[in-house]
Amino acid sequence: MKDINISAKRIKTEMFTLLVCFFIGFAANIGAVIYYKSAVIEIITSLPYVLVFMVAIYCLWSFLRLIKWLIAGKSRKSLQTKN
Amino acid sequence: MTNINRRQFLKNMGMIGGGVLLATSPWFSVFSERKDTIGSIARIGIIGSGSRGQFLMNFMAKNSKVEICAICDIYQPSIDAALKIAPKATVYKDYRRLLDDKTIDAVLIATPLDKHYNMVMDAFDAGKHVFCEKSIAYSLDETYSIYQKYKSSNKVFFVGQQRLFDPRYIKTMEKVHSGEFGDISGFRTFWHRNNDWRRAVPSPEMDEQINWRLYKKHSRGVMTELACHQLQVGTWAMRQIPNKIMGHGAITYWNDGRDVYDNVSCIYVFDNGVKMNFDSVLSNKFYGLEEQILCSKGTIEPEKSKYYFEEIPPAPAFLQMINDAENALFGSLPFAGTSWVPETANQNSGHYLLDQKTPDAESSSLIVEAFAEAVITQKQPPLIAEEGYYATALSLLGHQAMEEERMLVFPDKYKIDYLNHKANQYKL
Repeated sequence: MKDINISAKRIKTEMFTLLVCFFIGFAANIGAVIYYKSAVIEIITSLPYVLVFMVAIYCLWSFLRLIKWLIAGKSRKSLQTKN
Repeated sequence: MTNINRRQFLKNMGMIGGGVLLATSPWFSVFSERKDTIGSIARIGIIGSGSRGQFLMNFMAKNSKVEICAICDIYQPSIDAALKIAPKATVYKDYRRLLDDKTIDAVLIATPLDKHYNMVMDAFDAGKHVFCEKSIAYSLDETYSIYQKYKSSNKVFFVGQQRLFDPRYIKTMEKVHSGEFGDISGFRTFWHRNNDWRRAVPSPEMDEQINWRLYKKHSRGVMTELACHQLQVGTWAMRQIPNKIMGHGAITYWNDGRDVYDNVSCIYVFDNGVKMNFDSVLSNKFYGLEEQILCSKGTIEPEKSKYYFEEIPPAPAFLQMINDAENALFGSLPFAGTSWVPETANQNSGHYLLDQKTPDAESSSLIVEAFAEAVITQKQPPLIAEEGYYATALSLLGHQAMEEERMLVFPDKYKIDYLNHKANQYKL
């Protein structure tokens, strides 16, 4: 069985992506609290929802990257065949 | 219920000290001398030791302040069962012989409805305190006469309206009377069952004796057996007696020889226009029984021990945002605005009235214990007889309205000095 090596750079990139997703969710939560005139404490109490949201948009972003990678892979293959 | 349990009950209600409890349920003053009555005994005779009589005897047998010294019944299986609860009790077949026993302080009457009148009147004449199972009597004339007899007797008179002692209902009334739920807008009471309400009889000629609830000769059916409990909740909450009564009754399912209705619907109208409905269908039990108290700020369902506020707190802002985004993307209908959306009931799971589940039998235990205390102290707790009187009167008027198929106005001659009613000078 082949070992899968994940580079430190990849881990850093994924961690950074996850962090960005979290901050998007966190900012959206603050915006919602202001927009719906809810209690400020919801910035903390709604963190579980923010975490679920973070995972959801991370998965969505990963899915988009996967499609991009598949398309790019196909392009590379067709170029190699031509050459 | 033991003394410790009762104290615990009062503590659980958050009412020990009595202020709130006595404001909404003044009959609880009966327990104010409970320490002074330790060591005293109420000697009680049971007239009618059938299933209900035995049920109440079970609580008496556990009460150290009660001695069941006599039982009276004409049905041997009931006597045998009662003797298992009170083996030392003297057995009588004629209630008048039981009343002749000068050592008996009080009687508990749990016989068919049409037998109540003579028994209660004779018991007061014999100088006994009386606990009469609901309803008080078979007719308004009898009920009124019994109440007048009680007033002139200087004796204790309890009616088996055990909801008066039920923690769920007491908590409900505390909430309603404090104004927490706003104005009362209406009551929807119902008691549905899906059975024939019959009991097995050893021989056909005993059918009327055992299944007396099913025959107008002996009973007023669901009105006197079920509705009287629920109508009393309405007057307790409103602190008013309704003055207009209408209804319709029919036999729609159990065409088995009975002549009391198995399908009834009554409307009781209070002076301010608020209505109290009572419905009973004996061929569907899906909704069971409940007294729904509909107020401007919320609804209470004491039987379920739950209450629901009209305005439920909004969802967290984050979820509202997600929901709005979802609606904006998928949920908008270009041809219909909000006015087309029907007013469907809120998804509102409500809150519990009490922190812990109260056993259903607790109220029956407590009312029997209260009666024993009152017999020992010889003090009638306030309002308990009046609540019982009007519960019976309203159930009988409901029956009359159905029989005559017309709207009735509460007759002046049956009014007593209570709440919005003033006694009439007319004497029967």
